[in-house]
Amino acid sequence: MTDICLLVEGAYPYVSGGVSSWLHALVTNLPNLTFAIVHLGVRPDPQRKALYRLPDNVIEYREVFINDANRLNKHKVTKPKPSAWQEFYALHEAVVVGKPYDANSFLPMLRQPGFAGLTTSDLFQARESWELLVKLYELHAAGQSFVDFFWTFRFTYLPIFTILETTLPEAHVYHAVSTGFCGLLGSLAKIRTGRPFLLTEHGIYTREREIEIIQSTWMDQPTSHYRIDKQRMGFFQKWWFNIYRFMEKISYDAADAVISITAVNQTYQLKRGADPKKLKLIPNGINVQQLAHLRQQKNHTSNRFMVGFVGRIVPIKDVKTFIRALKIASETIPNLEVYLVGPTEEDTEYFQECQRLVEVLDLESVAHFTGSADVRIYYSQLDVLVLTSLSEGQPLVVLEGNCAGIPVIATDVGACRELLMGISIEDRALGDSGIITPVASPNETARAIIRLWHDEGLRLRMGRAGQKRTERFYRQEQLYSTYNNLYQHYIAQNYQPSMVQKER
Amino acid sequence: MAGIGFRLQAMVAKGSYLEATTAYLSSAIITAGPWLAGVVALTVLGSATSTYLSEADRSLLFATIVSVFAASLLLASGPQMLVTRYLADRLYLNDTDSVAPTCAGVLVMIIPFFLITLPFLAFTPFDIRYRLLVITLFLTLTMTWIIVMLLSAARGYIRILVIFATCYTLGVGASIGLGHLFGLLGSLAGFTLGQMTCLSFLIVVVYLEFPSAQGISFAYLSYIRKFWDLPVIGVLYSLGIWVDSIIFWVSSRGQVISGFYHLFPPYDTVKFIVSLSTIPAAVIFMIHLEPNFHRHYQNYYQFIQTKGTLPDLVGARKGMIEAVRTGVGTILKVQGIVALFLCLLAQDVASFVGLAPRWVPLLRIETLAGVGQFFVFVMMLLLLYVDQRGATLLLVGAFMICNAFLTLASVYLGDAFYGMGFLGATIIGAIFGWFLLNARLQRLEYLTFMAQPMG
Repeated sequence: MTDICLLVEGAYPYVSGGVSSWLHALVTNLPNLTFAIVHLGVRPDPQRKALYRLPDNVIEYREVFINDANRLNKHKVTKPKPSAWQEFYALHEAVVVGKPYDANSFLPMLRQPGFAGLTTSDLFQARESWELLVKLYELHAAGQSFVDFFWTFRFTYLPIFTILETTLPEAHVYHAVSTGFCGLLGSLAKIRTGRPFLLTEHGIYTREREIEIIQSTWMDQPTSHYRIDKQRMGFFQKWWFNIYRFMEKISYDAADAVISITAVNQTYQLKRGADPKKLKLIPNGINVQQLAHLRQQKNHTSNRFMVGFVGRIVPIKDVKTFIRALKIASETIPNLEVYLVGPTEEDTEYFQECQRLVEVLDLESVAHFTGSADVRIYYSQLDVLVLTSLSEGQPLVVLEGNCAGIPVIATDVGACRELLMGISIEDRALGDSGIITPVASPNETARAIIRLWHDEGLRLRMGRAGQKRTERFYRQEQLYSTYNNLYQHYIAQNYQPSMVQKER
Repeated sequence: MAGIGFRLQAMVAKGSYLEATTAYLSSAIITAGPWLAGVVALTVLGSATSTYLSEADRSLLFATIVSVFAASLLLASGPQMLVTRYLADRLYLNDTDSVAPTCAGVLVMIIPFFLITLPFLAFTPFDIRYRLLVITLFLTLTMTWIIVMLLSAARGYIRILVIFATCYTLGVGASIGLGHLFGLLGSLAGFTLGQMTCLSFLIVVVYLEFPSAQGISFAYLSYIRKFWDLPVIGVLYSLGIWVDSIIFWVSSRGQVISGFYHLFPPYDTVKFIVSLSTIPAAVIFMIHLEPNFHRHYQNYYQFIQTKGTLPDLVGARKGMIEAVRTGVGTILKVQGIVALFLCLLAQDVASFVGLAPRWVPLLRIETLAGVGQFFVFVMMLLLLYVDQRGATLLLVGAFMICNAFLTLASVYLGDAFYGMGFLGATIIGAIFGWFLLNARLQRLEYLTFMAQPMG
């Protein structure tokens, strides 16, 4: 039997990014454990290539396509019991209508693959399914476009039933790396096998989907602050909203541990009803050895004041605010020298706009775009690192800068505040390792740069605080050992029938 | 954060609801029309030829034309449905460029059709000139039935009407004129000439109407894979309305004309009269039932496109049912009175067309059967309208088989039962069709939506 079954949606090993590299590093660095990976994809795509080579301790890899309608052609309509159609109402109310389910009566319904003896083909092709559809329409969607109702119904239950019909590899522990469909799948594993289920949230999946739902009609809204106002949502927006909320709720309910990478997301998890006893904070770490010695290489004789931005040149990083701040700072700081380090190809239009802004503001002799480069060279020389993002999770660049002894100026998004000011009392006692600024505020950002330029003592104090903080709380090895202990703890746990016992 | 996310727009994909099915109606009218014109032409010819043709030649001419009409209608009925559906879909997509190449593609079919006639050319005991004329007439008629579909799909009714009226007049005139000079062959040649002129005009009009594209296209043939049931429906319906005649022709009561043609003139004459008698029903269908039905039918699909609610759809569907009920009621009343009159006047009508008095009961039975047949036709059309091809197939299949078996039975039971087979089959067909249509309309939303593929 596999030790850990990892459940991942639309990421590893096909998509690069935070979750994928985290997952790859975790599996690679826990060679004593065996893993099965279940990847949820949309539908088969022959063009797609794996970006990671699966480590040797991955002994099973499985893929489930949640929106693959061709799957239906292979299945015949069965003859479900009439009661099955009755029970479907409970599922619809929980998933789509947004009515909170009663765990004691609802969760046991999910114990068998499928739902109450209904298969996906039954739901879309059986005669009775039409009566069901019409009744659900009359009950919950009267007055809405029937065509939209019909298709939304189908594209809701195609993925949901795919998940309900999926059988997972046998494992001691199930671990989902987001809520949503993976979270639902992990919850089902828990309900059906009684084995522990861990949930790690990198971002807040549900909130990201909600933003997508809002954007699906109100594209004009500024991307920086989303207000999710349920009153203003259309019927089908609420519908999708409820689905993701349902999958989140069942994930939080079923999980043995709800792990967050950042303290700020824990607040969200609590607000959304996760049991405080289940919450765990396991931040991402960095390779401290590689970065800590860079401080000594700094050329202290240089008379330049060097400011850096490290990251992709894309709108979400709000590079333009950074450039505007530079203009203001350059009027005070005569020896300013700036490097924007990071790939420029992802959004060439935005990159060109940034270049033009540099020209218009007459900063060409000050600001330099380096493109992709070895960041360590810059970490060894920078006096200040700036991050003006509109949205972040747990930005590793903040940790890296701090680890290299550089004070960081960052916007108040994601985990930036906790990374620069600390979480626990012990952490806070280390002092600030940077300055927090509001989003999209060139003036505030410029003021922070000038302050650090002006006050070398502050710069050094913050740099030292950052080095201590990363060494103490954000070591990569810590992450692996924490997960190793967590896994070992749950692997050793006996068969846990609590959720299974509640038989009808 | 990676994630599948979702694209709401892509997910709420639109099914292909709106079917280009209204073309079946125009195609049906367009075949029934020329057939009626043919019946009129035959009647005129029948009395005109008596002055210059021998009795044997007259019956041969009559037998030739009736047989060639029947055979060409049967042969064309399959391809007709395919071409109709294909063009309706193309025109629905505003692809008028495909009409002319399809016309060329249809005309090439004359080669395989010619091959079918080779046994007739090789083995029949007639003058070679006569044989060539018959084959020419047969191929011309077959092509005409298919080509006329191209224009009906483009709704050029008036033009079609004018062409047919002109050419049939010309044909009958030429037939009489040439018949005076050259006897049977001349008469047949004249009639064929009229038909050929008609076909030529139709082709010219197609190319004038759709001049933008050249070339040749057989794309309509590929429709057979998805719409294999359409040609089967076409053939079964044609067979359904001819099989009783065919059974009488080959039965012991049939007459053998010139050692080749089998006919049963009393039965054929009766059926001609009956088909003319259903014109009032056809008119009511066209001006009352069909427009009414079409209005609700359009509303129904309009509601789908404009995101209507389920009650909207149910309302439109109920309107369709109501249109059928009132329409059928009206047709039944009017055609019932017409049939009643014909039954009462049967003796006079029989003597007027030269039908022996012993066949008057047959005329009465067939008159009633004509009403039934018209209903089978209406039910078939409306089922095709709502794209219920499976049900249509069932209906025309049942009708054809009933007609064959009941007619066979009537032949064995004797004179008094003649026509009862056809009457029985039309009654069964009309009732069966009525139930099928109502059952399908009752759950039209189910059929429209659940048939949509998910992928």
